[in-house]
Amino acid sequence: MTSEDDDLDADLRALFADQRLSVAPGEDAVSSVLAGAKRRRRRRTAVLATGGALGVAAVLLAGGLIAGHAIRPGQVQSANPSGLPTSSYQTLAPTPAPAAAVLGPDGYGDLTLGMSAQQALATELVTNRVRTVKDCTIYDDTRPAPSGPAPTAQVNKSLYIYVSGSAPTGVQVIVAPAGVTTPEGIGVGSSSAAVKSTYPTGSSQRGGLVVVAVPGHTDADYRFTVDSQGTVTTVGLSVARQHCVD
Amino acid sequence: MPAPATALDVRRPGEERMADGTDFTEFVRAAMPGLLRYGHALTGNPHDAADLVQTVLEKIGARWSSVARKTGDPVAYARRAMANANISRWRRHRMERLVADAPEGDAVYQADRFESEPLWQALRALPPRQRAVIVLRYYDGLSEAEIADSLGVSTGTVKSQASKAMATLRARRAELSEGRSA
Repeated sequence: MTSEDDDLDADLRALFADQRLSVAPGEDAVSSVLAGAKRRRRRRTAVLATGGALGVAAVLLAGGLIAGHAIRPGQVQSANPSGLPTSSYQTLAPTPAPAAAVLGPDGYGDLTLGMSAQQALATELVTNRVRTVKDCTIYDDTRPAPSGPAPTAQVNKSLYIYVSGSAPTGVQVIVAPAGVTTPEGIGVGSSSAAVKSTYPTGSSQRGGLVVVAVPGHTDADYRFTVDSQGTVTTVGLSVARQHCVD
Repeated sequence: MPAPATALDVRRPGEERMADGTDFTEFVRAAMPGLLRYGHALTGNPHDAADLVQTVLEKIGARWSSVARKTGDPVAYARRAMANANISRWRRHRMERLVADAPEGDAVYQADRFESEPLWQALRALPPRQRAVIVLRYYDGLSEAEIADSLGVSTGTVKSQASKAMATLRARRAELSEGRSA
């Protein structure tokens, strides 16, 4: 047992040297990277051209823009002192759309369970397509949360939703930004005991997840993640029988 | 020595060259297999690896000339960016991690080639920052100071994350091995 423990260093090196770690690139992997890079470059250029808040880079480029010169890719990097790639949408949206204070019973502000991705985007509560997992697409809001506790690694900063592409279609899960509670007052920081006493029916728990029925709704659940201290860290609302996050 | 440019070697828009003549397309083609493998170690599954590589390479491609100018080793740069992107993605989508059952249930993951490796299973269950520290240390062979620099945290954090991770890996591996032989 102890000798096995001592081998952990060597075993980790062996694991990372293992051939089974290899992943074959998809056929169109290279071309889709090239297309994606081009799209991002174009988007960033558009942000610059509309006077986006890019600070130094925008100022430096202003002369060129006014003179009608095309922006060459590669001219716009000086606003990134960290040296790491920055998200191209960080520079977009300054203020979030007016947000609701509560999540539930059937949605969040103008966002409601079951609406299409297009309708969800039209609410302007979510602004950004993140990625697709299985056939559910995640959209989020990269703008800062309007209120509530400061975001930490344990607390979700912003709103995000899952939209299913197959039946049942539409918005399946809505995860609220920190600071938002259910109509019954359960939010980030509530205790799991409070969750259970507030929602006595349909409760199930596994790992750090508590799922309860939305009062008066058989077709919707609240989903709470709970940390090891029994404190709620995320508040979500979902269609009862959805396949995006189960 | 890179081959000298020829008349056919026309630079297309967006295919800026590094000083040694490497263009972004060449870079992607050459680096992709290694980065996918690296992403597999970082994320714990091939699907997320592909997703992570795609996102990070797109961002690098969008500012390739700057990356090429500022770093002598774009592969190492891409790896650091992947480690960081994987941590922040997890932070933003923590619920997804917690809410989704162990991904084995998903068809995408069924071909997990490490299914019977307790150490791999234990590694995959670590929080991303701890996993990143382990990968940077044992895959990349970086020092604590280099890891701290790569992840933008203090060396104290690297030390504590590494020791937590190692303790969990030991315990979890022992547990899984026993469960398997029982």
